[in-house]
Amino acid sequence: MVERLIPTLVISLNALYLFREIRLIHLLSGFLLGGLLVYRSFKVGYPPLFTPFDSISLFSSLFFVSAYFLKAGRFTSVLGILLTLPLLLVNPGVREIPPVVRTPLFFLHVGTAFLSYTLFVLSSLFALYSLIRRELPYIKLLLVGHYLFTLSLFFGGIWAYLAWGDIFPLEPKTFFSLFLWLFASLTLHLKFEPSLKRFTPYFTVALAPLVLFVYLGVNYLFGGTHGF
Amino acid sequence: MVFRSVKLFAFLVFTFFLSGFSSLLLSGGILHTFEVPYLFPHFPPLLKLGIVSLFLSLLLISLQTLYCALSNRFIPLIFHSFLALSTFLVLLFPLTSKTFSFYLYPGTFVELGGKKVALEEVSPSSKGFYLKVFIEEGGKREEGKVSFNSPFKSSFGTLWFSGIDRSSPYPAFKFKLLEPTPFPLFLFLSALLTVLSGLFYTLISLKREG
Repeated sequence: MVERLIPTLVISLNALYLFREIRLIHLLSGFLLGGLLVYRSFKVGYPPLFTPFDSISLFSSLFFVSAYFLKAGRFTSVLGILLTLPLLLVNPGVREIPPVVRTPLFFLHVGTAFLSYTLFVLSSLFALYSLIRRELPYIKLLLVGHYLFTLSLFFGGIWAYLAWGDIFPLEPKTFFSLFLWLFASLTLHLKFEPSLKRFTPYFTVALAPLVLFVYLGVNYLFGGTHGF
Repeated sequence: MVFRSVKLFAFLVFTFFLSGFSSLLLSGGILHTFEVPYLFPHFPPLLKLGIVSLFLSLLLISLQTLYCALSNRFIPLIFHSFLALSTFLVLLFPLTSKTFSFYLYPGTFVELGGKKVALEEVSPSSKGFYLKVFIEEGGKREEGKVSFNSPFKSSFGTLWFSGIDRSSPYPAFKFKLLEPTPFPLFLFLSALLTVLSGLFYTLISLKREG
């Protein structure tokens, strides 16, 4: 019940934002989705971030809170609605807690990954806005997102070693994650090549679909060890 | 000068994507890096080509990173050098380390490369299982416990418990033994220095962006 009510409320609030730009709506949406995660953690007895429902809640929550602090506009609400919509379709049930995720490294790995995803998507939106209207500081967001993603790979590597004795198995999620990291690194280096510098905003715009593919598409299309 | 080129970096990233993606499609699932050196001679030619180009593209990226680091100022030099070293160690680790994968039932043992590995006790817990094990070599024995995310480290090697096979009438416990190697420690230190210097480099870059 609560699992369907809160996403519906968030979607309605952001639909309202499209007509009246009340910035607090983004913060409220972030807190509502964050609160949903806290509620479910108490309900299950453990933060169930390994389920699609809860990882989408976390991603959307971080997205809305970041959008509030970065003073992002209507376009963010549209994307926020699209990110929250799957919560009405995905099964919110939790079957069991896999023993392998019962480690603080899981939260460090997933937490930094989702924060970086959020910043990558927002930098992408800012770059798009910079191409259409006026310059926004998308490179700064990209820099912070890239560093957080480096941290996520670091924690993920330690966890993979402790759990499986393998640091970087070649499986869909790890491969596409490393590609995303390399792609973001390349985007940050384009400014050093005069003939490529002008492509920086286009490469940054391309990060958003890439992030959504790495986050949502890879597990559904290819499976692998990241699907619990 | 060509080796510093961003265009070359873009080409290597593209090669990484193509070779990695084709390897994944051809292998149809997960390629555990430690198994690849053993299974490589038996792979189909196209998969061999994909894995070799993936390995080479990452190796060249790490060499290019190191080359570019040398002409940088202090913080970027430290960050890029350790980043290159970490990538290089990730590639080298499975190639230079020896591992054994095997199953054990409670009360049984296996002998591998002169070592005896035994599973003595199984204690179910809320976190899965705690398994009491020992490793014996040259008349010396070291006992310990192993569970999910918590391998048993001994002077004879590191032992992981990675799952249970319930397809047989009795559940079999899956293990992996890694022969003693300083690689994990080197890699951890190198990666730690990469993220620490990366923090300073990111802060400097943010300040430069204004």
